[in-house]
Amino acid sequence: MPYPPEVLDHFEHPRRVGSLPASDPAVGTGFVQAPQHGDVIRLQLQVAPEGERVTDARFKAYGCGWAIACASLAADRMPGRSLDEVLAIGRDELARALSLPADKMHCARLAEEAVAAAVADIRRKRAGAAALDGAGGREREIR
Amino acid sequence: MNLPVYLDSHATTPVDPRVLDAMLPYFTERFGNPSSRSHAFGWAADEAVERAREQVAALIGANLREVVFTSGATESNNLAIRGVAAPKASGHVITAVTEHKAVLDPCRRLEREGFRVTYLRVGRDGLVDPDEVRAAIAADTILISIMAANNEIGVLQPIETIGRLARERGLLFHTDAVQAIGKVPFDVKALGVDLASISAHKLYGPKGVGALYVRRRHPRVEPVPLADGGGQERGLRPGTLNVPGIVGLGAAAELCRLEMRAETDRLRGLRDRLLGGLDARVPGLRVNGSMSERLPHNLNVAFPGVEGEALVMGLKDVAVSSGSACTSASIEPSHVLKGLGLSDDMARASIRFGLSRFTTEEEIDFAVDAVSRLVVRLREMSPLRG
Repeated sequence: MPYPPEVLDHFEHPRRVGSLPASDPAVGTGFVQAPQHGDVIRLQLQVAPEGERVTDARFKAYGCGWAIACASLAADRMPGRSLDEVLAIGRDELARALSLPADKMHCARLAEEAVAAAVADIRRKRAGAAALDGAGGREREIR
Repeated sequence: MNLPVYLDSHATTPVDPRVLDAMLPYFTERFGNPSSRSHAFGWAADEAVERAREQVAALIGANLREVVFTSGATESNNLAIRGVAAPKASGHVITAVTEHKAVLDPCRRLEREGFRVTYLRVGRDGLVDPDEVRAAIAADTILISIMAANNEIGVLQPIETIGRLARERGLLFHTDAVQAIGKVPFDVKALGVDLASISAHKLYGPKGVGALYVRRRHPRVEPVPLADGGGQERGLRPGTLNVPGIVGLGAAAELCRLEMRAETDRLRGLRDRLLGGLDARVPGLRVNGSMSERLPHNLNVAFPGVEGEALVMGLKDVAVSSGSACTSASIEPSHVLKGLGLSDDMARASIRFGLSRFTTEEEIDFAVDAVSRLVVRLREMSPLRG
């Protein structure tokens, strides 16, 4: 069965491969592994210090071409979105955009988990910073 | 050079144009049924089938009445294993974990029917230890089935030693020789084999036809047929014969017999060029299975840090197969590579190359370049490496 052209495009020309400094307070990192596959995705996003919008995103992935394509597409769709909008990048959106067959849905699910982990990480960082400031004023923005 | 380059010859081989030429008349003007004894159409077809039987017999050192035509190796393996077991209510069979599914599944069926089966482990080199075969033999052992050459890693099992052992102990010995026959010397007398499975499409013949070698003397082996019917093939495989296919198998066998020696040297040279080229450009490459006891046209290597499935997807101009299949539940690593003791990650990082009569040096160099560049690119993309 030939591969869907959307998958091949992202696999052969992956968008946003690379790394952001994980210790940067403006960077959220999601690192997830599929226990049965060994596939690993690291997805990172950067948010402007006072802002809510994602300004940059990078990924690295080890696994089958389907998982790499899902990670590439997820990273590519992050910039410009708010964190809540980023969280909406789920398996269904990825699967639809890549024409994934049903038996590759687990690859989209792994990318979805990486997105959620990256958002959780940046929110944790910001909550920690807000707690240190001793002020709850930014709480709404963080949520 | 035509793209994509085909390097998956353990899956199948193209029909040699000379084989096709031999086959074509038997679809049209010589369409007779060899069982028609009363007219020239039948006689011509029968003559062609008997010539093919001689050609196959000559390739493996058999008597021509010891060659039974079948639909391919799966049927041959089933006829050998189930056919030998059928007259008995119970008994013991010895095989190995790295066998093809077409041997393992008939063995599992026997287990469900009350037989015992020993699945021998292999060493890290992929080879069965004849001492372990000896140790596994029990009072009720009826059959040993060990493949001649492995379809994934190409290793050549010590068939001659196992054959001698089987003979000493009065046991029947079957070998799935699909990957070996026509590629390396294979003589049923020298090897002490009682049953041997052959497939046409692995040796530049057509798909859907094969043969089973069945020893007629010392001992006389009489498997029970899998089907009942018109008594063709001495009743061992009833059904109208696939005359064009059988003619193709015969022609393919003859070409292999005549050209094997020269072809082996050429293929070994190309295979070593492939390994050398990859090794020079891909750090950390690991060969799976013995390099010395191996088919000349096989290479199976692991590229640590990348997944074989991704390699296969990325190699759109090189047709190879990976040691795993990605399915919804999990990536199931090959049972052969697991049998060698490889970790799941190393099994998943493995690729099988199978060269053929038609493979050129230019194609090998193209494959080296394409694979090397892809491995480097995928490793750079991995979060597990720096």
